[in-house]
Amino acid sequence: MTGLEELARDAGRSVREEAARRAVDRPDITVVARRRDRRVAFTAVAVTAAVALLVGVVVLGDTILGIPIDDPVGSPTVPVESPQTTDPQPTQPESVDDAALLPPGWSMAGTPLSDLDGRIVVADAGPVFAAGWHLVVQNDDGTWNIRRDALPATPEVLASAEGQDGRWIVALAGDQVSLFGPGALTVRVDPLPIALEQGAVGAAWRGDGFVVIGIAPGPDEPSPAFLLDVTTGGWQELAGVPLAVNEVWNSSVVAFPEPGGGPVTVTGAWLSANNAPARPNLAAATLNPATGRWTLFEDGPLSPQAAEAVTVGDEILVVDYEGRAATITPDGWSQASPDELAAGECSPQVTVQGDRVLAIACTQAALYSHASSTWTRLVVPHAGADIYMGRAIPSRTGFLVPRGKATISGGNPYDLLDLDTTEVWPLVRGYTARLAQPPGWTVSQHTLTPSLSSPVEVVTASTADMPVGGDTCAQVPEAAMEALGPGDALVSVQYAGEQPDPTAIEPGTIRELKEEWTGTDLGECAANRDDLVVYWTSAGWSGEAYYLLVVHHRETPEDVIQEAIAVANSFTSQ
Amino acid sequence: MDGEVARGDTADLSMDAASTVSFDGFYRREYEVTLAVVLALRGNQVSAEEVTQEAFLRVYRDWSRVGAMDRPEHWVRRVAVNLATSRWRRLTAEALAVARMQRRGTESRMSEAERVEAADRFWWAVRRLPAAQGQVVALRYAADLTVEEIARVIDRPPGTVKSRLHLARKRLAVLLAADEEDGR
Repeated sequence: MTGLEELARDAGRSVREEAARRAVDRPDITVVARRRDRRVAFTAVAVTAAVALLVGVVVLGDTILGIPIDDPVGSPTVPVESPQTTDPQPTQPESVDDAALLPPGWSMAGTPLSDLDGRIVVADAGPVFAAGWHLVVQNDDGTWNIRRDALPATPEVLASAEGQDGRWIVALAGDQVSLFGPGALTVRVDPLPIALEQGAVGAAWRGDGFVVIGIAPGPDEPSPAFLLDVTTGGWQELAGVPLAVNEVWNSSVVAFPEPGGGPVTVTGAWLSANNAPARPNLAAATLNPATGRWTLFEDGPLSPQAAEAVTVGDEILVVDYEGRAATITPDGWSQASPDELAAGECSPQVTVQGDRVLAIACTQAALYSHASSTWTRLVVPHAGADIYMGRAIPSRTGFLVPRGKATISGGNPYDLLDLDTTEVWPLVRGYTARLAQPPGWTVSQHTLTPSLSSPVEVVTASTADMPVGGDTCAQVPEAAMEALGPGDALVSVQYAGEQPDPTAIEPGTIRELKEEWTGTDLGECAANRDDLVVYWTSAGWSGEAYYLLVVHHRETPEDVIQEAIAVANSFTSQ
Repeated sequence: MDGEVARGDTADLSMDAASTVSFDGFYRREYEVTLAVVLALRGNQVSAEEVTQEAFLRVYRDWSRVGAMDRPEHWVRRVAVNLATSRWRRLTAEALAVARMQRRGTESRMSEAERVEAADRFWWAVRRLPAAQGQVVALRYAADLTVEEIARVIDRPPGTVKSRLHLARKRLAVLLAADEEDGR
């Protein structure tokens, strides 16, 4: 037996053992099926509930149409729209049971979560998402409602929009489609057009319905486009998109809603079976509702893989896999912005909050301001924490997070970061470099190593005074190191030229100060202060080499050390 | 509440009591190994169970036909691997990140069980194979099926299965070697 064969057999045994452990929790599938089928049987109950709502009578407590989840933010609410106010009449009005039924292990942010393997950040779960078969909808007041078993499992496309009469939601999974109207009530919808049965890559509300984009039949063929009219539940075929897309994670559909239907834009690129893109750059196509024609914008400045688009103000902002961003206007693509998110193995995710856009990728987060067209790297507490948007499922534990907030877990209690009010540390420029400046930190306005020419110090920040020079070591800001007392820390970055060491660490990904970075003779600098811990490592940014120096006193508290790591992670250069 | 479904609520179900009993036995017998296959292909804890349950739900809906098959377990495994790889190819950033975290989480247990570490690395590599190859590897090793059984599950000739297994092994060797060099 070969080594690989033996490994494969062992791996098979291992996964069967894991399945055996989990199979203990398997649900009664017949009950799941019956619960879904009860929708029809519940019609009479739901109509009764709707009538009761119309006359202002609360029936069955707070649980007629929506299950308010154990929400630390707000109180339970009942949808304000009754089935009768919707047009068309909902054909499957549904009641829900009288318990908060998040999937097992799920909880709301605010509950201590001490059993996680690692740290995570969850940002912006709302307003609508799928938790297994359950549809979770956030109300305007921040509370949540849940509709049990309303969805096909894990819909690949889930889009929502505020119509004139309330929120509309469309969910697509394989050849199935579900439409929900105000109050999260199920609305009759015609079966998917045949051209969409191969799957959809995205949907967007354009004001008069959802435009749904399907998988193109081939890399050189148009992608099917249909308008789902929510007033009739019917489909109208639109002109095919002159841009072949075939993966939901590699495509975006966005729109500017207008009463009669606003423009719709699709971004993406066809991917082959091994995820190789069919074009070198991301492309976009925009549908002019007046003419019914698409305009193709090729040769965008972004990667053709895993880019994500959102609308903010009158802009379409696209962030790609390599941490770059660009906007699309009626005239085409803008230039790509400087990297604010380092390239990583995570696809970016973006969400809009007012006139700002939060972009996350792996451990990094950045905010884009539509007003100023500028990016700010968000210095995330707990450096190196993984960031998720929407929901996270580590160790079978899920989170719902109030919209507009990010939750950093891993501690107990963990922090809740309100992106609307949280302090965003300013980024301070030194030469071509920038560092975050937390409260209590100072960024040097000039070099502290005037005798050092190669490498060259580009920026230094410290919680202590930063005198220039030193007596022994020209290669480090020695006097500034000597100035460190208990409670202090210092971060310094030096530019070392092109071609970073293959093992160089990348700012934005530092999780901890590693013991192996202390194995230098720099401890002999700063008057042999054995109460200082000196870390020195090579770093890489945008293909260029740097050295990173972090120094702290042995009595410096952990939160200041974490700030130092966050400062190091905030480094960018142009 | 789940267990309190009145008989009247099920009037619209097409299955009779006898077939329900039969399905229950089938479900109890086959859930575990089907979940193993999906876990191998997904590596995503909650969604693996969602996919497995969705596969059984579809079989349940069509049990009058599937239950009459010679080997209904082949059918549910085909549905499961198709569902698993359909969503596998559409991994979102979230799923990628979760998978990454789970790898890291597993790494923390590696020192306790080297075999778990090796298995984790193996399935990590399998999830990077083309979907058709990943399916046959999962069916071969996670479900412990023979080539002939796999052929029946995926409805392809045994020669196709052998070819896919051969290509998969070659690719796995490369992926695992690269993974080793990366020090994962």
